[in-house]
Amino acid sequence: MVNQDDLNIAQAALGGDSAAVNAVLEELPYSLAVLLSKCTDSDSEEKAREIIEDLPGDLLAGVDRDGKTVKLLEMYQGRASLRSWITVVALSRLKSWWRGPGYRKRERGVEPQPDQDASPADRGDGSDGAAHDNSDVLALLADALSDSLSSLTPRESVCLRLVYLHGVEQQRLARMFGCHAATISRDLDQTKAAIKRRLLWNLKLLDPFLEITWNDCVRLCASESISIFDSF
Amino acid sequence: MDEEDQFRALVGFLERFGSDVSGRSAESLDAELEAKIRGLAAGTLDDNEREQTLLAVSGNRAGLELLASCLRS
Repeated sequence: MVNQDDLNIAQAALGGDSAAVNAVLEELPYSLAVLLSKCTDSDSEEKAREIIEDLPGDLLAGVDRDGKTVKLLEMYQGRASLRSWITVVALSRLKSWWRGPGYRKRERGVEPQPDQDASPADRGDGSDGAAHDNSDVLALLADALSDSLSSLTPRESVCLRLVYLHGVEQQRLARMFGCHAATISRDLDQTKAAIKRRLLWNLKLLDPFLEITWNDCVRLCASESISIFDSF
Repeated sequence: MDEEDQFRALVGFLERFGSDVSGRSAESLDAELEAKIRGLAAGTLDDNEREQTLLAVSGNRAGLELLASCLRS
């Protein structure tokens, strides 16, 4: 894992290690600087500061999901540096807010400036605003979906991947488990319903302003590009 | 796109871009695990062995591919 040190810090912070918590929080001023560099009006700057102020609670305090406390930082998978990941999460929230009705500047016909410096240390060149919007969401989607599937039991995970990745017939699974095919079908339906619910919940935790439906998630998954990770 | 295709897209996406769900860190298969996987596919493992093998396969891409191959044949 390329970002194993950052992953260790995140896990230690989730475990309550104060030095690790401080290390996570020390990334926030950088993220704020990136957000502010993209703002061209005072409303956006105020929102950027609000987003950063909310992040410590979301990252480390946790929110209830299905009776279990889930912390945003648990969705960090180590694909990008922790600094870049936190910045992408914050930037996605700002962009979603820009797209929403709360952003009055758009009504005046002025668009926010496109991405130019998402991460001076990490980014590649040639970013373009519209393309980055999609890849921002893809980055979050990958984390949200990974987390959704990691909460499955081994049996649920294996069955799902055998059927939908390897094309194994449900009848074969029934024979393997010594049960009726209807049991496998019912279990898969429950697994899929849980994934749908957890995926949308996770995305809302990552970006409360993001307006995304199940069909949007599927369409993004069917696309081939996740270029934002290439730039980290 | 029906629900079956939707989940093919999701699981395929995770195989391309996910992290540890498909077990990229544990690609190798030792002889003991391979035998367990063949037993799992044949339905000859007891409950405890089956759960242990499912746990191993869930984090091992090569193991999952072998299990799929056994079940299809």
